Amino acid sequence: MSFTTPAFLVLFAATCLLYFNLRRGGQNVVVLAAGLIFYGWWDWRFLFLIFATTGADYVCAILIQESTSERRRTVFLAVVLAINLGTLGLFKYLDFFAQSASDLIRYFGGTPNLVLLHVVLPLGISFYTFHALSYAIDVYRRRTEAERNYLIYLSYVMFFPLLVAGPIERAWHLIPQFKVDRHVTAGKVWSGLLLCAAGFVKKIVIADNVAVMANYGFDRASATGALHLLAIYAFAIQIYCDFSAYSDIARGSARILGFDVFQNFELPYLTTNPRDFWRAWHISLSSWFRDYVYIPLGGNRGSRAQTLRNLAITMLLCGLWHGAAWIFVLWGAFHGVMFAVYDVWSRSRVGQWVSARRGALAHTMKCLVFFQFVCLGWLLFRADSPSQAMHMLRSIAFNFSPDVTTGYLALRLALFAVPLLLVQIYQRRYGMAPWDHWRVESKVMALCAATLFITLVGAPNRTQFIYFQF
Amino acid sequence: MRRLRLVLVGTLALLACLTAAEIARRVLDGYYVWRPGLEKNPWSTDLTWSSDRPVEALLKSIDLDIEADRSWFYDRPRSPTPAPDPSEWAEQRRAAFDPQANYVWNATRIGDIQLREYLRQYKGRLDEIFTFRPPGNSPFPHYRLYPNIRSGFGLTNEFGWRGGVIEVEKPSNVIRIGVLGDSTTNEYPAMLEHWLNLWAERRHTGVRFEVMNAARPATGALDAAAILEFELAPAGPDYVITYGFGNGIHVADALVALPSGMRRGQPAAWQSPDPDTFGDLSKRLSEKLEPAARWSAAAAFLRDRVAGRHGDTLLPEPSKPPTMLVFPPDLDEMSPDPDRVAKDTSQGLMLLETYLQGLDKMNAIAQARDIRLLVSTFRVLAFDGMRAGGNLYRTINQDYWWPYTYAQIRRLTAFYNRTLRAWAERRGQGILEIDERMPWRPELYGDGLHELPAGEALHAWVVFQQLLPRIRADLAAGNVPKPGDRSDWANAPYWKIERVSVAKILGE
Repeated sequence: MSFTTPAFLVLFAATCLLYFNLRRGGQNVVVLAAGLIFYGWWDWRFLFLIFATTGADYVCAILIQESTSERRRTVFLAVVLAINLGTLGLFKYLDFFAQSASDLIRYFGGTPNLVLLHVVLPLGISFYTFHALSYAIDVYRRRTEAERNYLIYLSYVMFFPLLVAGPIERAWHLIPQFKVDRHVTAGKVWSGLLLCAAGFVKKIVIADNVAVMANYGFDRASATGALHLLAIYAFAIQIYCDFSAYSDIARGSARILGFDVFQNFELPYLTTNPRDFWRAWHISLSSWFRDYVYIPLGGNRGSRAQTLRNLAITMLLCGLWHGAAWIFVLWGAFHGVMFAVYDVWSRSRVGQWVSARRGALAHTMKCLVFFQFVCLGWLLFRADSPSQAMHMLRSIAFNFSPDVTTGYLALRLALFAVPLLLVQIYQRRYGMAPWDHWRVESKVMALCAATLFITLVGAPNRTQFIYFQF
Repeated sequence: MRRLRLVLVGTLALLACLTAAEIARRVLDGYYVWRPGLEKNPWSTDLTWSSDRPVEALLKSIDLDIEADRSWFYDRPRSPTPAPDPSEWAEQRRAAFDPQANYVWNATRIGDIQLREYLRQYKGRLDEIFTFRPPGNSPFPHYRLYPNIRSGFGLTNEFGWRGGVIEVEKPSNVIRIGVLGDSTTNEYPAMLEHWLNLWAERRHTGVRFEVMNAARPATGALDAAAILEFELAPAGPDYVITYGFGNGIHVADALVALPSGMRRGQPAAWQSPDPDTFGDLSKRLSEKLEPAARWSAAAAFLRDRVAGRHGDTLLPEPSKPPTMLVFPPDLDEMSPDPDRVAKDTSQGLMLLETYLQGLDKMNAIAQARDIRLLVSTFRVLAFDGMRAGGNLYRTINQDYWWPYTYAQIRRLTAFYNRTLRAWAERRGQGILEIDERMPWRPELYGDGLHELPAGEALHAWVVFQQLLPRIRADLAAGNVPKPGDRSDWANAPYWKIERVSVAKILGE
C-alpha cells in the first residue's frame, strides 16, 4: 500500500478512529494490525517471511542478552546476521552476483551455467532488515535491552509508517515508545497533519510533475546537452521531494499517533560539502552505516588513508544497499571519491581560503558548486547504465545547444524549484517545522492550500515512491 | 474585527493560491500564461508521452549478448535519403485516398471483389491503378509497395521495400537479412540493421549488413512465401526473418465453443464499461465545470480529472460470458504436431494451417537457396490480471477476441507459438523468441498485436540479441556472407509496373 492511495487514507482514518478510543495495549495491537494490512495489501505471502525473520531475531536477541559467555553471544549475533543478511542477499543480491559472475565468465571466453532465481523483491526488505539488524547489534553491544514481548518487537519492525521506506529507526528509540502511554496533544496532531500535508505536496505536486521532465530528458538519447542537464536537475528535485515526502508522511502519521520518529532530511541541497550532505540526506541510513559499518571499521581513528578507506567501503556498501546493480555501486564509489577529494581540498590552502569565506553570497556559491557534484551523482543513480551516463555527459560538454523548447522546460522546472528553494530558505532560518509555532487559523489555511494545490496542480499520474524499489 | 480580518486574509490567501495554481497549470499544460482565454503555446512540449521511456526502462530485463553494448540502443538510424524525385503525385494520391492508392496490385487479382469494392468506393477519383505480373500468374503476393516514394509506410527503395537503397549485385562483404511480415512489422528492421552494423564496425568483423524490409500490411504467410520467392531470394539474403501473419489468430472457433446466439467479436448483448466514462456523477460534475474550463486551465484540468480523461484509466478485465477452451483429443496443447495442425480443415484453429503451409513453401525456397529461415514467435498482449485502457482494451475485449478471457487468449497464443517452435525444430530452421522475451507492458502495444514505437524498438533489440550469437557462429564457420545471385534479377519482368485504367477494371 502506498501513502498516496485512497486505501492508505482509509486505513489511516480507521486506525486513528480505533487508536484514540483504546488504551496503550489495544493501541499497540491496532498499530500492529495496521502494519499487517499495510504490508499485506501488497503481497500477504511475504508477511510470513517477516514473521519468520522477526521470530528468529526475537529469540536470538534474548539469547544474546542472557548468554554469559562472550563466545555464545557472538555466535547468536552471527546467527542473526546470517539470517537477515542471508534473506536480503537471497532476495536482492543473489541474481545480481550470479549474473555478474556469468558475465565475467563469458568475458573470459567461458560458458557460464549459473541459474538465476528471478525472485520477487519483497517490498521494503532493505529497510526492515536494517531495523532488525540494528536491534540485534544494539542488544549485543548492550546498548538496548532485548524485548521480551514478541508483539512489541513485531510492532517495532512492522510499524507501518516506516515499514517500506523508512526512516530506519533504532530499537532503543522506538521500542520504548510502545511501552509507555503516548500523549497525543492537539499540537502533535496539527504538527503531524502539516508534516503529512507537506509530504503529499512534495510528492504529488512536485516530485510526480518533475518526474515527467526527468524521464523526458533521460529517455531521449538524441536530445541536446541542455535538455540532458535539465533532466538531471529535474531528477535531483524529484528524488529529494519523492523520498523526503515519504519521510514526512511517515513522520507525520507517526506523530499523529503520538510516536516520535527520526528526522531523515535536513535541507541537503543547502549543504556545501559531502560531509554535511550525508548529515542531511537520508540521515537515518547514513547514521546507520556510520554506527554499524564505518565506526566498527575503525572510523577516523587511524591514519588518513585508513579513514578514507573506511569511508570508501562504507559508501560502496551504501551504494549497494540502494540496489543490486553496478550503477549503484558506482554511485556509492562516486560519493566515496567525493569524500576523499573533499578531504584533500579542505586541507589545501585554496580550500581553507574558500572555507573561510562567510556570508550569504559565499554560501550560495558554495551550495551551487557542490550541488553540481551531487547532480553528477544523481546522473549515475538514475542512468540505466554507465554508458548512458557517459553519453549524457558528452552531450552536455559538446552538444549543449539550448533552444526555445529547453527554455520552456526550464521554466516548468523553475515553477517547482523556486518555491521549493524559498521554503527551504525559510526552514533554514526558522527551523525545520516552522508551522509548529503558527496560529491555528494559519494552520487551517496551510492545509486548505495544500489540498487545493494537490487537487489542481498534482500530477495526473502517480508514480511509485522511488525508494520502494530498495 | 478579528473575524473580519480573518475572512479577509483567508479570501486573499485563497485567491493567491488559485492564481498560483492557475499559472502552474497553464505552464504545465502548455497554455500561454498571461492571455485571458486558454490558448496553446506552440513552444510547449507535451512531456507526458515519451516514446522511448518504457523501452529504456525495460532494457535491463533483456539478456544482453556478450558483444553487444546497451548504449547502442540509444543510437538510432537516420532516415534513408529520400528518392531523387519526391513523387508529389504519390503524396497526393495518398492524401486523397489512403496508402492503398499507391499499391502495385498483382495483375491476377484485379478481378477480386475486395479490390473492385475499393475502386468503386473511390469511383471517379482514382483514374488508374498500378499492377505487376508475377511468374506463372501466381496470385501471391497480392500487392507490392510502389518504389521510390514516401508512402504511408515511410520511404520505399527501388524495389518497394521500406529502407535504403541496396546494390543489385551483392557485395562480397555484405550479409543480407530479409524481413517478411505484415502490419505488425514497421520500423524494427531499420533499427536492427543499424545495430548490426554498429556491432560489425566496433568488433572489426569486416562485414556490413543490409536488412531488406519486404513486410507489408494485410498480407499472409502465402503472400510472404511469394515475396521470398520473387523478391527477396534473388537478392541473395543470408537470413530471412518472419514475424506476424496473425490476422487469423483470434479465429479459434474449433477450440472455444460459444453459447448459441453468440458471435466472436460481437458483444451485442453485453455492455462493456467504456474506459472513458466514469458514471453519472462524474459526468454531471464535469458538465458543471465546463463553463469555467473555457478560460481556466485549472478548471479544465479538474474537469478532465473528474471525467477520468487524465491519468491512469487502465481497467481490469470486464466480466464475460463463461466459455471453455478445449483442445481436440488428437491435438496435444503442450506439444503440438505441426503436420497435424497443417492438415486441419476446421478453419477454427487460429488459421495456423495457412501459416504452416506458407512456412513450408518458405522452407522449400530457403533450402533451395541456402537461406537460413528464422521464424519469430508471435505476441498477443493479454494475460490474466492485465489492466488495459484505450484501444488495447477495446481490441482485446470487444473488436476481435470477445468473449475470450485474457487467460484463454494467453493460452491460445502460447499454443500458437509452440506450434511454430515445433515446426521450426522439425524443419531444421531457427526460431526467434519474441513472445518469451518482450516485456508484458500495455504501453508497448497499441492494440495487443501492433507495437507502438516503444515496442518496436524493444522488438528490434530482442531480435538483435538473438541474432548476434547465430551470426557470429556462421561467420566463424564461413557460412555467411554467401555470394549473391549474379543474374540480372532486378530487371526481371516481375518488377515491371503497368498502369491500368480503373474504368476498364470496373467494366465501364
